[in-house]
Formats: sequence, structure tokens, C-alpha cells
Amino acid sequence: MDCRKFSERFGDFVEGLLSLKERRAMDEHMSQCVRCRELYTMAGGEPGDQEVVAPADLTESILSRTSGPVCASARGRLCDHVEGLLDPTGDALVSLHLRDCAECAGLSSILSSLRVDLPLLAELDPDVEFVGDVLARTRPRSRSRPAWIERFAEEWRNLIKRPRFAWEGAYVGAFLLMLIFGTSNAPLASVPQKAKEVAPQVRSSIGSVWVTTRGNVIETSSELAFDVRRRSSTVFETARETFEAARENFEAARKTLGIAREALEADRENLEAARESLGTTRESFETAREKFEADRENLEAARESLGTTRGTLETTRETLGTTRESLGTAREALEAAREALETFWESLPLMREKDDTKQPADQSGPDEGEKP
Amino acid sequence: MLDVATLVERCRQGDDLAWEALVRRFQSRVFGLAYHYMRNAEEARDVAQEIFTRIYQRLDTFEGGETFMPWMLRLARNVCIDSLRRRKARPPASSETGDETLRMAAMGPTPEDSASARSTRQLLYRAMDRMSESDREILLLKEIQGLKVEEVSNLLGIPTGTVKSRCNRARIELATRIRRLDPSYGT
Ligand SMILES: [Zn+2]
Ligand SMILES: [Zn+2]
Repeated sequence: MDCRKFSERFGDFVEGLLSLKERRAMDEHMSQCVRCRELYTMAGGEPGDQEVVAPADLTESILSRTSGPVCASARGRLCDHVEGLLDPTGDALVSLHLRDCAECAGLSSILSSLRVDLPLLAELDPDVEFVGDVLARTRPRSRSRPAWIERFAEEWRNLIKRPRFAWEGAYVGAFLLMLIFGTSNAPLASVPQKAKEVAPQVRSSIGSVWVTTRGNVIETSSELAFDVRRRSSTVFETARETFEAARENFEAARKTLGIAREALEADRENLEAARESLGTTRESFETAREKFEADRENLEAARESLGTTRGTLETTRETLGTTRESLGTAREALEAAREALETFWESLPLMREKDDTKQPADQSGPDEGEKP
Repeated sequence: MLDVATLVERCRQGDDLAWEALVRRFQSRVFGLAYHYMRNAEEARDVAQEIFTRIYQRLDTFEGGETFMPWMLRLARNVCIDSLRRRKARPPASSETGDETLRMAAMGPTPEDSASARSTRQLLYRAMDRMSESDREILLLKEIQGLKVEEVSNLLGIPTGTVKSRCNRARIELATRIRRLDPSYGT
């Protein structure tokens, strides 16, 4: 204790508000310092006065016989006391307890210091590369993506724009049709041929019996229809599968590109690694582009073959026209045959009538002869 | 100094300089929080990176009306807890973090940090190391990060009264541990 502290606490000392420890410190200082002792004497006190107080443990022993230890209660309010949240009376009560309880007073001063020191733990500096790493991970996409990725993305967007994609889809479809109908070993190549074969068969059957002709035609054409139906459903299955596969390939390519892009963005801290990743990505892009080119060539081929297929279909249609005409002729012939047959049937009763007129005349003769 | 609301607004408009400023402004706080949860500098760094990535992705969902800090701390806490769950196999052993704590305390928030401030931080870390997860978290959010009682209540989904009483208990607990470790603290 020095003189400055002594004078600071002098008022409380005189009022008897200091703790035992503090009072002793004041006394000790006065025993060494003439000026402070004089100050105290002027205030009407005698050095050593404060020594005459109750024994330090008196209160504790009383409490232990009555309410029990009160520190728990004090500690329950200590935080609010430190923050000045207690009502004046409650706050004064805690202050009084702290004056005489070194344990709680110690905790109180620690709590006060913690109010200052704990917020200092809120911030902890990471290393200097930290911000750069965060920025590399979060940079706006449009700025971090190299131009060639942008170009590819643009191309892809154009590709899937409805009309064009639909047309190219149609080319692929036509290409498939050519594969199915157009070549000699295609699954349905025999269909137009079969139609051609039916025509002469129908033509040759004109003049023969109606039932035979109809049976042949129905049998052959229903067989043909069934065949076409069966095979065309297979064709559409195959076409759909091919489209599914193509779409999956494109999806996979796009995903690969996405993963590559993420890797590219994440690996910025290491320029070497980023460059390597870029190389790999570009390679996969080149592959994708090559594939794309190949697909486009296939589409061109498909477009060309569409013409061929259309020609084949035209021929088929002509053949079917001929077949229909032949059937018409056949029907006419049959109509004529039926008419002939009907004429024949009509003439039959007349012939029978002639025979009938003779016979009844012979039988009635004797009856009439008996009556008279 | 630009206020946070302005920075956030500029970030949403796609100004990457605003984003950089925001990252610089909060990097120490986010890293500090991540460190408190992870108790390991390396993991805390990864988690802090993840937190900023998440902030970047979610900036659009931040409503101007609320305060940025609680919003950010909530998001950061979620990332930390996810990470802790993922490494659940490892126990939060206090003994193994001893050296780490000293190292982190030595790093300090500022270069001109005094030796006494450094030893204080070291003492606080050591005292908190031995506390329960829930006590530590409530101290972290309310006393260290400075969230209001209502904000902590929202964040942890517990009543404000419980936040207050739990926090006061944790502070007394911490003070008791500190006095045991270093009787000269606070005098
Ligand atoms: Zn003096
Ligand atoms: Zn006490």
C-alpha cells in the first residue's frame, strides 16, 4: 500500500467499509507513514482503532449454525453483479459478501477480467494464404471459367435448343430407318419386296374361285401387317434405346466437365496442379468435341440416307397402289362371276317349271274322268 | 470502414472485391470459431474454408433485415457440427490438444500481441479445454462471439432463461478452473 492508495480508500476506511485485509493494510501503512497517520488522526481516529473488531470467523460460524454457507447464493448472482445487472439492494448485498469472502471476491475479479479477455478469443488469424484459398474456391463462375469452357457450354446450349436438336434427332431417326429398311441385310428390307410379290399373286388369281383369292389375299396381307407391326415396334425400341444411350453419354460428359471445373477451381493454390488439371480437362473436352464431330458426321450421313429411304418408301407406295388396283380388278371379276352364277340360278326354276307343267297334267286327267 | 450490410449487398450484386473484403473482415472470427469447435488448427482451417464457401453460396438467402453476424455464426456452427459428426470416431481428448493449444495461443490475433496477452489466451484455452462441450459452446457463442441471449436461444433452440442460467454456471466454472490453474489471474 502506498500513500495514493491510502488516500483513495481513506473515506471507506473511516466509514468502516473496508474488509479486514484492507483495514490491516491501511494500519500497516500508517505505522510506517507519518503523513498518513496524521491524516487519520485529523479525521478523529487513533491508529490501531480498527484492530478492535469481531473475530474474522465469527460471521461464518454464525451462518453455519443458521442459514448455512451463503457462497452458492452469492455465486449465483456473481455474473449479474459483474455485469451490473442486479438491482441496487441486491448488488450492495453481493458487494458486502465479497468484502468478507476471499473465495467469491477472487472469482468476481476473475469474472471481471474474463469479460475483457474472452471476447479476445473470438478472433484467431489463419495463415496468410487463407483468403486467397477462399477466393479461389468461391470466385464467381463466369470469371473463373476459361474461354474455351464458355465456348463449349455455349455450343452445348445451342445444341439442345429445341428446333435444331429436334431436326438432328429426326436425322438420326431417318438414319435408323435407312438401316432398317434401306440396305439388303436390313431387318425389314424384305417388306417392299414382299409387297411386290403379293401383287402378281393377286393378279394371277383373277378368274379363279372367289374364296381362294380372298383367302390368299387376306392371309398374305395380315401376315405382312403382323410382320411390319412386330418389327416396327422392335425398331422403335432400338431407336429409343439409342437415344437414351446418347443422352446418357451427353449427361456423363457434362458431369465430367463439371467435376473437372470444380477441381480446376479448387486447385488454384498450386499453379502446377491447376495447369495439369487444365490439360486433362482440355483433353477430355477434345475427346468430347471429337465425339461431337463424329456424331455430326453421322447425322449428315443420316440426312443423305433420308433421301434414299424416301425413294424406297415411294416405290413401296406405288407397289401397294398396283396391288390395290389388282384387288379392284379381282373384285370386279368376282362380281361378274357372281352375276353369272345368279343368272344361272335364276334360269334354274324356269327349267324346273317346264318339267312340272307336264307331270300335273298327266295325273289330273284320270281324277276328272272319274267324277262325271 | 464499410458496413457489413453494404458489403453483403455488393457481394450479391457479384462484386468480387466486396466478397474479398467480407472474407478479410471475418476470416479471423470464422477461423476462431472453427478452432473452438475443432480444437485443431488444421481441421479448423479446412472447416473455415468450408464455412466461407457455404456463406458464398447462401448469401442470397440472407435477409437484409437480420443481422449478419448471428446469421454467419449460425451457418458456421452448422458446418462445424457437421464436421465434428463426420470425425466422430475421434474423442474430444483434452490431453492431446495441449500442445496444439499452446501453438494456437502463440499465434495470436495480432502481430503486436504482447507476451502477457499471449499467456492469458493460453490460460483461457487450457481452462476451457477441460470443460464440457455444452458449457464450452455456450461460452463460445455468448461470451466469446458476443451473441445476445435471444440469439443464442434461437441458435441452440433452448429458452432464454436456460441460456442465461447455463451461461452463468459455465462462467463460474471457468473462473474456478482458471483460479486453480493460475491464482494470479484477475488480480
Ligand atoms: Zn502514506
Ligand atoms: Zn463467498
